[in-house]
Amino acid sequence: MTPVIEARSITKRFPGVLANDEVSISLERGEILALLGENGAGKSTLMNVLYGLYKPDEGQILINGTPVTFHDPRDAIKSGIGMVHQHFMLIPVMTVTENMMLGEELTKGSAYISAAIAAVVGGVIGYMLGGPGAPQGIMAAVIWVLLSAALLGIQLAGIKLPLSRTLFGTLAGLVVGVIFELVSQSTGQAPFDFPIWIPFGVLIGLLASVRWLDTALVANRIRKLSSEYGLEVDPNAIVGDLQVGAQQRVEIIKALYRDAEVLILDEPTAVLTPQEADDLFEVMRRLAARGVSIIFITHKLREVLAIADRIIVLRRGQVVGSATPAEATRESLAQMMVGREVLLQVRKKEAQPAEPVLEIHDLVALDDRGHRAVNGVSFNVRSGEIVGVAGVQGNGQTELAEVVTRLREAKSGHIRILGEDVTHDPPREVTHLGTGHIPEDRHRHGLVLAYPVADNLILSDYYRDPFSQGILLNEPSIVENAKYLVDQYDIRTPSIFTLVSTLSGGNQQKVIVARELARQPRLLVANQPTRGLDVGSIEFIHNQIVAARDSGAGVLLVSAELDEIMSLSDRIIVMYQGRVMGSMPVAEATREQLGLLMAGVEAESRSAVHAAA
Amino acid sequence: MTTGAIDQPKSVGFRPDGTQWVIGILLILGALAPVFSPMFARKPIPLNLALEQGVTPVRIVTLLVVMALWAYWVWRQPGAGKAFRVPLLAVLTAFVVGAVVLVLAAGQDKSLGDRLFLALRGYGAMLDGAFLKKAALTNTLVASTPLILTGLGVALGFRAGLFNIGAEGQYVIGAIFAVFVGYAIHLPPIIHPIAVMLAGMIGGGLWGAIPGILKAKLGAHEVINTIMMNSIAILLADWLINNLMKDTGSSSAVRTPIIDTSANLPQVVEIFPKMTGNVLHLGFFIAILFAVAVWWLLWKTTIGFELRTAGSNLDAARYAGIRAERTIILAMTLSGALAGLAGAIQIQGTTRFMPTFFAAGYGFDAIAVALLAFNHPIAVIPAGLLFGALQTGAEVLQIRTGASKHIVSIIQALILLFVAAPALIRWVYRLRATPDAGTEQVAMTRGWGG
Repeated sequence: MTPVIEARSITKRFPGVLANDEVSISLERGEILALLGENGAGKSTLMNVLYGLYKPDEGQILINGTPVTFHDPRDAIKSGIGMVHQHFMLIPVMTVTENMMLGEELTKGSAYISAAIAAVVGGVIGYMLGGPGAPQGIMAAVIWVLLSAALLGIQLAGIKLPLSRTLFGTLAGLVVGVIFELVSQSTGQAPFDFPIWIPFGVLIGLLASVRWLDTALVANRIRKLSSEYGLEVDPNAIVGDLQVGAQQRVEIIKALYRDAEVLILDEPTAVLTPQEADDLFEVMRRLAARGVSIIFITHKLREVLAIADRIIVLRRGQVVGSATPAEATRESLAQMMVGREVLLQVRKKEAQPAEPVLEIHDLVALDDRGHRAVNGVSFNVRSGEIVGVAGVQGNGQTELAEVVTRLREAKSGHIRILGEDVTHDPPREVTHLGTGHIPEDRHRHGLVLAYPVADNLILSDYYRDPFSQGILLNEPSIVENAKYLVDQYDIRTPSIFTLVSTLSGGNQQKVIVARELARQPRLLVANQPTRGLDVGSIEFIHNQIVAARDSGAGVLLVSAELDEIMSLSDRIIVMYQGRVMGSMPVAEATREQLGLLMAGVEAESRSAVHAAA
Repeated sequence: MTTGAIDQPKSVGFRPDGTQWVIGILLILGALAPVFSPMFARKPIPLNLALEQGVTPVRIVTLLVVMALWAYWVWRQPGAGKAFRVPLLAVLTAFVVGAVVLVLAAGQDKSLGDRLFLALRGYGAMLDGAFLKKAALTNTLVASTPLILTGLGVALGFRAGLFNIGAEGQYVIGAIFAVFVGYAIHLPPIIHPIAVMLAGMIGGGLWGAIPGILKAKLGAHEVINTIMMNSIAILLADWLINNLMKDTGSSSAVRTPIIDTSANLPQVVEIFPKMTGNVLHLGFFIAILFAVAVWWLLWKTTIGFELRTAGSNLDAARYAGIRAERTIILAMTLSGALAGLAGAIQIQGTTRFMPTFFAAGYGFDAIAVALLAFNHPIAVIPAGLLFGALQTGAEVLQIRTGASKHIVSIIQALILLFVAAPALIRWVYRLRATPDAGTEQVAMTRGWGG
């Protein structure tokens, strides 16, 4: 069977990096192919080549056996490839229908409408201006109708223009207007002193080339696709109001709307809750059954084994192996991805907790809407101990971490760090005392995307020795610090002056981790530290967190991944609706017990409910 | 967020390395040497004659071609030079549309052929008036001085994420403070002009600090407040000049007394007698100095780091311990101080007193200048020169061709439109967006989000 899409020996070079090294993959019709790899392995690059965002330096892409060349995503879309990116490309203030139409070609229907309107307006007003009843008037009417027809003809013939269509039409109208003006002036029949035909020409040219939006047509098509593939979506909903899972469905329909036969999903479950991820898998199976072929990129080994028909692993730009879920295990896949044995379970020594570094007492804090997000929480974190806060997202963990790092005000209660009451101190105080913070939203709180790596690495320390003396920045020491940290933490970046926005998510997180840990904090607050990262980066960051603990720091770990909590923590507390539901040493915790507490079910024995000191 | 970003450039924007800078400067000097060399000959001739003889169209064209080749060479570095494309194309497109407007508005009873030729003659006249005629170049430099300084103020504000629309009012208040120190307080030379400039900076800084404080403490948006402060400033100045600061001796115009000669900014001709720069005063060079100073502040100091970080990402700045309030007030004060300095220098260098209609729209042109320079202090210099050239060229345009000199307002507005909406230029010319457009977009879009 001819593969529906095949990439043969794709090679792509960037300055300083060989992103894809003779990569060949093929996809059969109706197959779900999983692409696994670390950050920097080349998966995103390969997908961008397939989608026409990059041109391969060598190699071929074949669609149904025929070689094709893509100059931009439009070509790829025309060949039936659709892509759903990790960060959605939707406009929140527009409706689903309007988002669907973005970048869409002019539908033939509206080209006729534009031309017709232009012809009527041009003909009638031209006739009246030229002199009704006189030959000049008729000539004027004819010329403007002809212009509209010519512009329509150019659009229908699909001639590629150097300028955008509307501008071309406007300029064409301008030229005709100028010529007409010259002619009418030379024959002495200009209707006014003012060269009226020139702006008139511009107007008619514009009218004939303008595009009209046909929302009803698009909305109907959306409804049809929605019912055909079982993707529930309301065409009139405003995208910003939709849940993340619904937004993702809109993105998938966007691809299907453009007649995608191959769907590329980039980290689709990174933003979904476990339930939404299951729904997505259902959708994928349905799509595959109806002949849509799917390539999806993911780091989650568990999902790959659950949904994929076939798995391909990339490492450092090369294909290092393929497998099926039947033959592979999480360990074998991880080993292929990283090239060595990977410990999926963090190996750590017993904790040696000492005196408390963080004491929280009866803390109450409000969320952005004024509700009590943290509702009377008390617990301690001791030096040399990792306390994991488990819980479904949205139960106050984020607000808790923000209050501890002083990005949010506490309504009541006390926070003590290393014995100092910091409940109302500014963030810099907390940093001074020796707190490091890995924020949940790395783009918003952790990094300045417009800055280079070197500047981000000194984001919280720029005002101190040795990075500045007085108000003068000490550039050599900033550069030295950056070089040292990039090396120490294996941050993959072309240079320390590269803008951090171009780094992959894993490397961006490494920048944050490097910055915070380089300060050798006494208290580390890590909020979703490995969200959206690959196995290699996750292992690295976990090791760093354990190393911080072993050197005497106390770690407050907040995570929505129960696996992470259970493998890293020494003690686990569970939050539900702003309260601590239970606290226990990790040895006593089971998934079932934690799951119940996370759902708000009170534990049987009273001792588990009271927070242990 | 960039996931599948378009081909990522290796370097960061237009960054000529050391060798390229040296070669570029040598090229400019080499191309201009024949123009200036008669001044240093055995029988030296003054600057304006040298310019008149030396600046021929051939020389200009040669210089432009040479610089274009150099720019292309630097451009060919991966990623280098892409940052220049949008502003250059914006200016070019604005001139094209301006030509169309010239054609359309060329008065009654003109044939089409006449009109088209008029556009060409008009631009030729502007070029003459800005650069080529005798003393035109110095006029341009003098006209650019307030534009560069106010542009610096606005650009600094943008870098800190603030929309300072109040440069006009800060300019006027700075001028008020300055002119007062100029005529009412008597100090020895050298100290007096410096004091006058300082007074201008204090006045402008104060006028900028007020909306800054309102934003920092109350969250009141600076766009509204600065616009309102403009009105207050202009009317206040008018009242002061008509009443408290009125020069009772002057019969014709209502104005303040003339400032002491000790407070004047010396003309270049006084320092270098061989150059009859007739109106060129030290202010231009002070403006250049301040441009370098602002660049140094923004990129070499901790204060600048805080301002830029707050402008790029206020959340990350807060996390980094930067106090938003302090940064906002500081940025608005500095921004206003620069505009106030412009007012002071304008008085010290040109008029030497303050008339009632002093504000000439510099504060609003400054916004266009800052945006055209993409808020980079060094780029404000050529941007300010361009707008200054438009201003001086416009006078000659009106004299020679009868077209209204307000055509330059149209051109300036178009430049501003195209630069503020770079997507428009990219759409017309089918350019690809560059990933390091990050800074410019952040500065623009932060406005209403607070």
